Amino acid sequence: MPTQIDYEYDHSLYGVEHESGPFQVTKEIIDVYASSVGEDNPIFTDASAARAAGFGDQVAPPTLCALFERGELPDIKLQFGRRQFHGGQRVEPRAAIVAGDTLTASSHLKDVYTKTGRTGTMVHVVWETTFRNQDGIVVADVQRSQVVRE
Amino acid sequence: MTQSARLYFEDVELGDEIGPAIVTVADDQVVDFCSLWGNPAPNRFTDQEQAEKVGLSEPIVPGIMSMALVSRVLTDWAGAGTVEDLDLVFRGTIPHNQPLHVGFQISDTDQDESGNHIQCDITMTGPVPDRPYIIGTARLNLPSRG
Repeated sequence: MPTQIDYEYDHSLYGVEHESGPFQVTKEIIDVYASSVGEDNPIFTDASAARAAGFGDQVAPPTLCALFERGELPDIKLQFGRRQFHGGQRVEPRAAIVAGDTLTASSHLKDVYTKTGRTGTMVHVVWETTFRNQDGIVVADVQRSQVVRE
Repeated sequence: MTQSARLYFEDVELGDEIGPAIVTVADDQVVDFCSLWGNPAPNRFTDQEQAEKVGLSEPIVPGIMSMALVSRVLTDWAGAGTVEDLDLVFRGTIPHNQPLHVGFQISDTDQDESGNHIQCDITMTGPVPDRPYIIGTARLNLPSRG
């Protein structure tokens, strides 16, 4: 059940899955991602090391799929606020993502709730996305909280 | 996932504090990250003028990039393939080119048929320790010596 809040938005989005992808996970994407965050564990940088550790190919760092999570999602038509920022993120890796994988994403609106603090009221819009690979295996669940403030 | 960890469950005790690890994000790292993310420079994460247009005093590190940094520090400590859940709240804008302090404290440990789990509280701060940029939790599954 969604949280009850005082501001109008499009409740019809609940229970609707929004599909996106496919997203190709290439060696180049993993390499740039790893180098941009200083990730130097060999399973994330070297296919041979990853294979020696039992993986099929070079492994994506566990939060890489969040790159694909900002795909086009519907406007919830929230009748509140103007400024938005990224308030939080949750990633639950379920299985290894490796170079050569093709991911698809299925997203739904999980909740919309308010919090009031020193700076006033903020509305949190939470989307939940499940990523699957080309074999239909769930590889990660991701939650993104977008915050809207006055 | 296959484990390649360097840390064992028995190495960890409730209340242990890890770090802080000090990381710094250079401008070109953010540019590279944004290019992957489908948000190429210039934007508010890479460019002073674009940042000021949206009310920021300077370009900032994207939230999902800061999450990747926290994940990296976790896997540096515990090994790849150990993170089961990483849940972060972004409480402040994170600047480029400044030392970021990433620390963990073990808040719970448990063993069951699904593995050897530890729960950590996470903070990322800048120069002022009591004003964190990020707070959150992580759950890891570690190998056992037993």
